[in-house]
Amino acid sequence: MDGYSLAILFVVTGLVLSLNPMTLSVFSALLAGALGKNHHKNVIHVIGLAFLLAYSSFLILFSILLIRLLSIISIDLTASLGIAIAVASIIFGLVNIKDYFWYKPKIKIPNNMDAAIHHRTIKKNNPISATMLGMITGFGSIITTGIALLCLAIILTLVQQASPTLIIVPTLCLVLPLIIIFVATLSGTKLSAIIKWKQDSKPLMQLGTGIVYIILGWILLLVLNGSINSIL
Amino acid sequence: MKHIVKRNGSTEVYDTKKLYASIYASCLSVHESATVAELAAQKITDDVNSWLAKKTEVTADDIRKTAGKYLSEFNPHAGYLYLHHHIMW
Repeated sequence: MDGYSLAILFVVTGLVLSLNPMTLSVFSALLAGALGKNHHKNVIHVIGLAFLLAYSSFLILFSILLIRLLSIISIDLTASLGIAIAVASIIFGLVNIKDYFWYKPKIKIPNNMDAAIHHRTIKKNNPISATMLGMITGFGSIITTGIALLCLAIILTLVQQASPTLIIVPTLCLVLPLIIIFVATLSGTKLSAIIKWKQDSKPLMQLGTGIVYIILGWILLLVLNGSINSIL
Repeated sequence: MKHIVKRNGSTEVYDTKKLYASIYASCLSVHESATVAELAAQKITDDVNSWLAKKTEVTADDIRKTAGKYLSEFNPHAGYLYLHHHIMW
C-alpha cells in the first residue's frame, strides 16, 4: 500500500463519515439560531467559524492523541488491538447495513441532552457557546467516527513508510460538509432545504458508513496478516 | 390561563410571546425579511390561540405541530424548519 492509495483511503473515509446526521443537525440548528436572532452577518460568521474551529480542533487533537498512544505501546499490542478494532469495525458496518435494509431502531436523544443542544444552538447563540458546542459535538461524533479513526491510526502505525501526519486528512474531511453548509447558508440557501436533504439522505448516509467500516476493518485485517506491506 | 404539558411531564403557563418569538425566528432563519416574519408570527400566533381556546389540555408538542402546520401553509420553508430543526438524528 503506497502513500497515494493510503491518501485515497483516508480521504474517502473522511468524506463518507463526514455525512453524520447528528453533526449536520447540530450545525444547522446553530445557524438557524444565529439567523433567527437576527445577528449581524459578522457575528454569524464568528459563531459559525467558532463552531467549525472547535469541532475540527477537537477531532485533530483526538486523532493525534491516538497516533501518540499507538507509538508508545508495543507493536505486538498494537497488532492485538488491531484485530479487536477490525472485528468491531466490521460488526459496526454490518449493523449499519442491516439497519439500512431491514430494521431501523429509532434513535432517541435523551431529553436533557436535547435540551442542552437546544439551549446552546437557539437560546444562547453566541461565539463562546458555539465553541463549547463544537467541542461537545466533536466528542459526540466520536461515537460514529471513533472506531474508524482508530482503524486508520493503526493502519498508519503498521504500514511501512506511512506518514503519521496523514491522520489529519480524514479529520479535515469531516469538517468539509459543514463548511459547505455554512457558505451555502450565508449565500442565501434556505436552511430548510439543507435539513430536508439531511433527513432524506439519512438512510444512504448510514449505508455509506456501514460500507466504509467494513472496508476499513477488512483492510486492517489485510495489514495485520501481512498481505499489505506492514512492518509486522 | 392555559397550561401546557412539557415533554418531561412538567406543566408551564402558555406564553404567546414565546410562540411568537419562535415563529419569527424561523422566518428569519429562511432569509425572510423582518416585516414578513412579523406578519407571519402574528398570524400564526392568532391561529394557534384560536385553536387553543377549544382545548382543555395540550402538550408543548401539540402546539409545536399545530404552529408548524399553520406556518407551513404561510411559508413552507419556515414551516419545515420550525418542525424539523430540533431533530438531532
